[in-house]
Amino acid sequence: MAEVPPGPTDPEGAENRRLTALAGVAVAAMLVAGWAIFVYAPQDALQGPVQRIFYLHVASAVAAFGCFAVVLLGSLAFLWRGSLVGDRLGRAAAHVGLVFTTVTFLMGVVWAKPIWNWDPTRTWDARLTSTAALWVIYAGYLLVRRLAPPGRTAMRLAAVVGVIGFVDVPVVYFSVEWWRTLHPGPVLTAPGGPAMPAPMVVAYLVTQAAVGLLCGVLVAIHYRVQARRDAALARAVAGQLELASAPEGR
Amino acid sequence: MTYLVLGYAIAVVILGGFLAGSLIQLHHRHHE
Repeated sequence: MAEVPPGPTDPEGAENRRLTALAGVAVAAMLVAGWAIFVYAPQDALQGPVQRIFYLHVASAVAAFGCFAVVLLGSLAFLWRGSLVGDRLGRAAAHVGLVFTTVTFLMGVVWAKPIWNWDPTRTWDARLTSTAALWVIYAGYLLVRRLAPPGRTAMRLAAVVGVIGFVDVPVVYFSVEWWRTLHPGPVLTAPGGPAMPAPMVVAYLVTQAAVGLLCGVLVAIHYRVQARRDAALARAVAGQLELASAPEGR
Repeated sequence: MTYLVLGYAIAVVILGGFLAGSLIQLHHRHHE
């Protein structure tokens, strides 16, 4: 195997450079979000500085939900039409969604510690527990792909997990209404409008836009990586078949 | 303040690490 240096006329190299440039724009957008969170947004009178965790915590959760919706649509497209694009999109979005779920989860735990002096290992908070289940479901989705025999079997099994697993997304969202446990209820979608001052809402919207861009770029990068892996696998399989069907003695 | 810094440090490490890893995978090309 040899490294292929990207050339100026190489279309794959050009696409990679485009995605890298978009990643740079997303990083710049995240820096603007950082300014909105730490400089523009006013300090919360009750919670103090730690309230600022809210912005990235919620934006990451929304990004993760979006990724899992893409996994659902990709899985349905595969199960219904055998769409390989749908399968690949699901794979890419599951990776990214799992990362944003991890960020949401850990930031939530860090926020809860000083606010409630909360030991998460002793508190079966409904939002925490259903989010942990969400993480396990999509880690399982990726694990199925690794452990099942490669090809259509792995795709079909993962697609079934991708469809059934999405059931947990509304459970996570509505958990604060269905079970009255520790996690605060809806703030941005509270009845009668957002339950926070306008500058805080603006800071959240800026963060959400930046995180949405980063999320989209990451899914596009992973889609491309997966597409290249699929092409390499198809070439390897075709090579094996060619070898197997070649007449002996040649 | 400590928890705020800790929360965002975790997020930066995870998201930054994942983005860096993704870009490395994107640019790491082989032919078979």
